[in-house]
This record gives sequence, structure tokens and C-alpha cells, in this order.
Amino acid sequence: MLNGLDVFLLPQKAIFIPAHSLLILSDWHVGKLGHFRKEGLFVPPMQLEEDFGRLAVLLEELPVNWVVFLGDLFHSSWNMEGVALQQFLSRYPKIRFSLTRGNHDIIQDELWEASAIDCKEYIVLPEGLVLSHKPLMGLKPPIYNLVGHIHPGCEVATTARQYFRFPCFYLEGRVLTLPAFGRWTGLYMMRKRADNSIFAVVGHEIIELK
Amino acid sequence: MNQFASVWFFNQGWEPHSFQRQAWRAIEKGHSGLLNAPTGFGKTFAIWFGILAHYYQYQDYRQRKGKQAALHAIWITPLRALSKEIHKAVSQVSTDLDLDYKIELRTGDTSLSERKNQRTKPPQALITTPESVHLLLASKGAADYFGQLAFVVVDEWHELLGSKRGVLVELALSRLKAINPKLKIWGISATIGNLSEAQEILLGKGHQGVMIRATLKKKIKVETVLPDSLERFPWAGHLGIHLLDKVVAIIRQHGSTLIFTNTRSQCEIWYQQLISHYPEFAGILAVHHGSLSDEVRLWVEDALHRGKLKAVVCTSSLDLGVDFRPVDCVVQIGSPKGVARFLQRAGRSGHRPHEISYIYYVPTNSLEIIEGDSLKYALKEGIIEQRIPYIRSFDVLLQYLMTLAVGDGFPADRTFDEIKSTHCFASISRQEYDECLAMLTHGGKTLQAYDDFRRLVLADGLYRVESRRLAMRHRLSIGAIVSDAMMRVKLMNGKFLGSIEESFISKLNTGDVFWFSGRQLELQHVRNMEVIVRPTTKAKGVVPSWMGGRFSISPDLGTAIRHSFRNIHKARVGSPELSFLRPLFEEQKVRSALPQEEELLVEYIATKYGYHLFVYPFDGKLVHEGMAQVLAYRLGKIQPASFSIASNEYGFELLSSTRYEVNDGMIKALLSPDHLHEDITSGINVREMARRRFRDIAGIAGLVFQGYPGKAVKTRHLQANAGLFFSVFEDYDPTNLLLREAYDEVFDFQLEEGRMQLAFERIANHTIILSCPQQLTPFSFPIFSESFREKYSNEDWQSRLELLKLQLEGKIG
Repeated sequence: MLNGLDVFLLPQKAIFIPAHSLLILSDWHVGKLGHFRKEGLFVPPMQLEEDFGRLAVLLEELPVNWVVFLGDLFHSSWNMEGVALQQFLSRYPKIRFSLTRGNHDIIQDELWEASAIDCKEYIVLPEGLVLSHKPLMGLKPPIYNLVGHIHPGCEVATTARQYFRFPCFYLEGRVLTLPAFGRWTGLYMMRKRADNSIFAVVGHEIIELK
Repeated sequence: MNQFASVWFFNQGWEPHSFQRQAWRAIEKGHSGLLNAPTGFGKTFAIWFGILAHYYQYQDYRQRKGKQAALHAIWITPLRALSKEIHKAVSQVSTDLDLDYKIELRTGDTSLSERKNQRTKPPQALITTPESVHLLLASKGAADYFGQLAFVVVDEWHELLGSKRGVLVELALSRLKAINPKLKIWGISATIGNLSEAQEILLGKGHQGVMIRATLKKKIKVETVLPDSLERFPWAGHLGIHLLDKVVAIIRQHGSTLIFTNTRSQCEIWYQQLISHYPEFAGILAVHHGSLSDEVRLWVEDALHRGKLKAVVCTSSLDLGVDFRPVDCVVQIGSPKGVARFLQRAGRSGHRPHEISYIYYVPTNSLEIIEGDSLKYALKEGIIEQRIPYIRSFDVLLQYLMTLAVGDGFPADRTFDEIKSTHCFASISRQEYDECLAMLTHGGKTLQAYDDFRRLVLADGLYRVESRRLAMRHRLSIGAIVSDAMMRVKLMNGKFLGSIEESFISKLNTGDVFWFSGRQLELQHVRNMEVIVRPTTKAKGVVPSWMGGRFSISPDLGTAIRHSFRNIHKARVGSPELSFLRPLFEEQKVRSALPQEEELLVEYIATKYGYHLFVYPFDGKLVHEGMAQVLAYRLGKIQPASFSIASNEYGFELLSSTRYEVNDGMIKALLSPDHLHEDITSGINVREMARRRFRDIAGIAGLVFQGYPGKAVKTRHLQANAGLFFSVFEDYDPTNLLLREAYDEVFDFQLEEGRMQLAFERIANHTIILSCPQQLTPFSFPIFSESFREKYSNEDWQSRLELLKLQLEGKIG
């Protein structure tokens, strides 16, 4: 609950806000492998079915009519994987798609205009939630900032000296950072302190680290 | 007799060794071959005068006046420092005899203008490294450049053989032989367990080459440095600082000492400790390791030559070749991990013929003392390691194909025949080769529609690289040594000290103090890839650690160690090491039990960390790692559980958070050799091992670009780690050759299934002594303290998560 608004952290690495029928995801990095290929690195091209499947489940099972991507939707310049994304999004003509531009989103404006996605620097919700790619400077309480960019993850130590790594949602002060939605993205390790909260994505559940 | 040699040796007042005469004769007769001789006996000259005589005998090489001079010989060494040394020695010969035979160096240090000169006006001989030869192949007109080449000499071939740099040499030779079928190849190698295999790999299958072995024997004296009392010597640890005073006493007794450590951080720590406890060493003690700048290293090497240093703390960076005459003593800190390495290091002292090499072994914990006994035994029995060559290294092949494409371009069929003639790719099929070509031409097995992949293009029957940017990037990444992103450490005045891993610097803040290059430095600021520091006197600093460099004990030293352990239960033992360790063995006996010959000790101990099962087969770390995973798998079949695994040279540990029932019959079943193969394949986390191997493979194959030297900004949006590529291949292209290579390397080099089978069979005949001590024992403590751990689990993912969840919610643990 942020500013009186129910905010659900989903294990599909997304956030759902029922009051706005709004689904938020971040750092998908579509086109990453295609970009590598273009530079002569012989990786197989990206197959987005798994990511699409994960998103489709959300779009079909939740009453969503607005999707916001918190930046880094495309890894680099336009390629075939972008075409696949557009085809996928066009299956949902009733849903509005927005993007808060990230450092990786370097596609020219004309392409955005041609696509189903409207592109902004940031989005403000009336309850005092600001959605952007990187944390914005100078926001005052009670405003919350929902961001992506760093791909947060956490490491959990268990008994018998074992460690596990998970992607996580990360809350510090009034900034909530989403995990990266895309599959081929890394993790930036966060440490649990007294003044932050870490919500790990563990399989089909979200668990808060204590 | 070689004319040039007889004049030169006469002038020097030297008498040639018989192996030198043999080599000159063999070269004169037009043979290729392998020379096996210890360092310090003039093995360079044994080959060199043969080359000179050939040059002046065959007029066509000389009567090219007016025409462009042509390259006559290349001499390949594994180290730049060694190249310089050889260059100095052989240039002196040309000067002494007033010959017009010109020799030049070509290594990573050679300036651009010199390189250009070497291309347009080649000298008669180049002294170079495998990487530089590949760089020459990656330039236009390579076939012409090497057209008149008569000799290739590969120095320290044993050193290159067991690494992928050896594959670089094999590939380069396959090309050079094709350019010039009359090419003579000579290798120089120290003694290794598989010398004739080494020769066959170098000269080619069914070769007619000769083998020349020097019969000279070098005298080596080994002494183990023992602590004053065993009680105060630690049971675990790897620094060896406890024996600092004793090492200083040794330094004082000798003229100039090399102190070998196993890692770069240990090297820094020893230097720091020596200087702070014995300030009088300032100025006559130096530090030398691979991460220091060339300037620092050259200064140290030069001072060593001139006898200005009392001691140098170093790593394997000073293992090879270069001859420091003033050095008369060597100290090895910690287990040398291999007999050959120990011998090599011992040979760094008393370099001159007929001098005795002194080496002191400084153990770092009590059990390690026993290795002193084992090393002596190994030297006495002539036990020495083999160098296992790499085969089917597709990563190197992909790099090589790019190299050829960047140079003159290559036709598919001819190159296939050439590479198939090498040992490394003898078993490659045409289909596999085509797959490699496909990866480079269309980025995978099949052409993807509407895809803009480009790397190689086929035109007029030749594969070439068209993009200048790709060609440039490739030239920068030629080589088979993969390093991490390094930060350059500089003083305020711009003086470059060396490089440190990014991950270490990222943990420091401005004002933090660390030890590097033997100096105490305060971090000022980090700018791009540069770390600016200033000297400080503030106390308390941290020492950087570098990745890699942790190797396991060789099987041969393992054999020797087992031999030593076979004697520990005997009341009267011969060697000083074993008698010194008696009280430790008594302690082990009191707390638990001391295994006799044909007995296997198993300990089950509960601590606050969980339940530890220790097993001591004395089979070496590599085999233990595999055995531990097999045992974990078998235990898991009885009762699902997760384990964390640690191992060392003597035994291994399975640590679990849950208690399980232990008895003789069950241990016997766990250690049974039946169904071993099935259990290895299904039980060991080969995937994780392969994933780690893949890091280097991706780097060599050209998937991960290391960035332009000294430039911070990597190619935009191209940053990715090898782990990501590993997962992508696993999901989208599971039969990929590079992926398979990673798994093959795990089975060949890491698991050593053959040795594991033998170990299980041997243990099957042993009596098992199961003991449940109240506390950790002298045997178990070093394993318990191992920080590097593997994990193993056969609880299904879901129930592990449940367990974890409960723990996170504070309900258990």
C-alpha cells in the first residue's frame, strides 16, 4: 500500500495497481541478442515466447487496460525482435502501452510514433506515484518513485553455508525499484540494511527478507 | 663441427656439451626435432648455431641483395621477458662474429613503427610469442611474408603444451608448414612425463624428427623449514607468515634469494610483512608479479641481474627461463602443487652448470609439512607430471579462422586439411568444421530470415572479414589468455604501477588504504578505468586479491603425498618432516583415529554449522571434488538433502543442515565402485562446472569483447557476461560446439573419471574406520576452513524454496 493505493508485487516480476488497472514492468531489453548478432557475435537470435507467455498470462488474467514499461524496453536500435514485440502487443488493441524512456531506448521518435507505444520521460499518477526509468531527483514526500534501471537482486544465505540468488523488488526511502522483466538480464546485488526492504522473487512467490 | 660455434665457443673459452654437438649435427642434416635439456646449459646456442650455419650455407638466402630480405627463422617463447633474454644472447653472437644476421623482437611491447618496419624490411630472425605470430597471420600478405621461412623454434614447449596457447602454436605451424613445406621445426622442452607425445604434437604425426636429450643432471637440495614448536603452528591457513623469521634467516645466509608464493595477493602480503618487520630490507627487497606494470617488473629483473637485490618476493611470473646469475637460493612458500613446478623453481638458483640448486620449502599449515617429505620422495624417484594437451578446442579454432579471414582470407577446403593435420583437431569432422564456418558466416546453424548478422563473407572462394571495425576488434583480442576487466593503478604524477581487478576497487572508498606493488597506497579517486592513488603511511591496509591462480595439486605430487601418509602410523619414521609431525598424528589418534595402510578414515562431526561428514582418501583435490559430489548424490538418494562441499588434497567434507544416521554398512555402500559411471553422470553438477569453463571459451572464441586497451567505454550495449551466453546457448542451441567443448573440458580436465574409478576400486578393498569425534580433528580442520565451496542438492527446487521460505520467515534456522 503506497499513498492509499494498493500496489501488488507479482512473482512474474511486475507490479499491478488495480485502482488504475495498471500493470508496470521494467527493463525487458528486447532485441539484446539481435543486437549482439548485428555486431558479429554468434549467439542464437532471441526467442521471446517465454517472455511473451509470462506477460500474456498477466494481461489475460488481470483486468489490465494500461501497461507501463519503465524504460530499457529495447536493448538497442530497432531489429527483428522489436518486430516480434510489436506483433505481440498488437494482439491487445484495447490495452494502452506506455514507456518511460530509459538509457537503452535509443530508437528514434518516428519509430515510436509508428508503434503502439507512447513514449514519455515520466508518468505521474494522481495519488502521488511517479513512474520513471531512473530515480528522479528532487521529489518530495509523500511522492513515491517507481523505477527500474539497476536490475536489483539479492543473495540469501541458508544453513550449511549455502547461497541462493534471486531477482527482487527493492524499496529504499520512497523509491521502489522493480526487477528486470527480461530473461537475459543480469542482477545487481542489494544488501539488506535497517533502512530498506527487499522482496525476493522466489519461484512463484514474493518473500520479504528480514 | 659447426664452424660458427667452434669459433665462438673458442673465443668464450667454453667447451660445447655433447648435446649441443648432437643438435648442430642434426640441424645440418636437415632434421627437425625436440631438444630436452635443463636450463643454464646453453640450450639456446644448441639450436641457434644450427640456424646460423644453415643461413650461410644456403646461398639463396643471402643472395637476395637488392631484393627484399626475407625472414629466415622465428623463435617462439611463452614469455616476453624470455624473448628479451634470448634476443640479447643471440644478438651478441651476431655482434661477436660480425655477422649480418639481424635479429629483432616482436612482442606485445613492440612499438607500432617498429612493427611496420619489420613488415616492410624483415630481419633474418624474429623472437616472438604465439600471439604475435597469429597477429602476423592476421595481416595482409602473410603468406609472402613467411614464404622463405626455414626454421621455427618453439622454446619452453612443455610450458605451452598444456594450455590453449599450445593450440595456437599447433595452428600457426600447420599454416607455416603449408606455406613452406621444407620448414624445419625445433622444440625445446624441460623434462615432462610425456616427452615423446610432446614431440609428436609439435612435429606432426609420423614425423621423422630426432630427439636430443642432455644427460646432464642438476643437483637439487631440498630442505623443509620447520617451526620451532608444532603446538603453536596453525592447523589451517595458507599464508605461512608464522615462519617469517626463519625465512629471513635463510635470506641472510645467501647472496640473493627468490621467494616464490602461489598467488599475487600472498606475494604482496609477504612483501608487506617482511618490510614491516625488517625495515632494514628497504631498497634491497622487491616484489614481482604478473599484475605489476612492465616498468616495475623490468626494474626488478634488471636489479636482480646486477645482483643489487637481497631478495624478491614473486609468483610464477619468475618461473620461466630468464637466467639471474646472482640468485643462489630459492624459497617456496606453501605447497608448490606440482613436482615439475617445484623443480623449475628450484632450478632458478645455482643457474650455472654443476652448481647445486638450493630450495627451501616453507609449509603454511601443519599438515602441509608432510609435503616436504613427499617432494623429496618424488625427486628421488623421478616422478614428474605429464602435460595434457588440449584437443578439440573449438574456441581457438573460431579465433584462428577469424585470424586467417582478417589476413589474406582462407579457402574452406585447404584450411580444413591443414587444421586436421594438427593434434588438437585430428578428430574434427567436416560437419563440425562446417558448423564453425556457419557460426562465423551466419551466426548459427542456419541462416535466419531478415537477419543482419555479419562477420565473415565468402567471395571468390575465400572467406574474409569486410568490416574494418570487426577486423580491428579481432586483432585486439587475439590470444588464449582471458583476463578480467582490469583497472590501471596510477600515482598522482601519472606513474603507472600495475592493474587490479575492478571488483576489488569497487569495494573501496576514497581514503581507503591498500597494499599494491609493495607500497601502501591511499585511494584518491577513480576515473574511468584508472585508479589514482598516493603513497601513505596510514596503518592498516587491505591486500587485493586477484581471481584465478588457484590450482589443484597434480596427480603425481598426489601419489607422492599418499606415499608419505602411508608411513605416518609407523612408530619410527625416517624423514625429519614425519618425525616432527608425530605429535599431530598422536592428537589425531586421540580425538579420532589414525588410518593405517589399507584403511579409510571417515569422521562424522556435529558443529553449529551443521553435520559434517569427512572422508580422507588422499587422492588429490580434483578427485575429491568429484567423489564428494557422487557421495552427496548417493546420500541424497537415501534421504533428500542439500550439502555444501569442501575438499583439499587429503580429503573432502559434506556439510548438511539435517542430521542423518551413519553406520559402517551405509558408508561402505556410499563408497562402492558399482554404478559409478551412472552416478557421476547424474550426480555431479557438471552444468555448473561447464558454466565456469565457458567463461574462457567465450572470451577466446570472440563472444565477449574485452574492450579496447585503456579505454573505459566499452562498445555500447555490447556488455554481457559469458554466463548469459551460456544460458542462451543452453536454451536455444543445446548442441552448440562451444557448449559441448565446455562439457568435454570438464570431463577431461576437472573430473578425471578414470582416476575416480581407480580411487573407488582401491577404497573398496580398504577397511573403513568410522569415528564420531566430539570436536574437529587435525585432519578435518583444514578442510573445514576451506572457503571455496560447491553446493549439491537433490531436494527438488520447490521443497528447497519452502525450506528457504520458512527460514526467511524466521520459523526455522
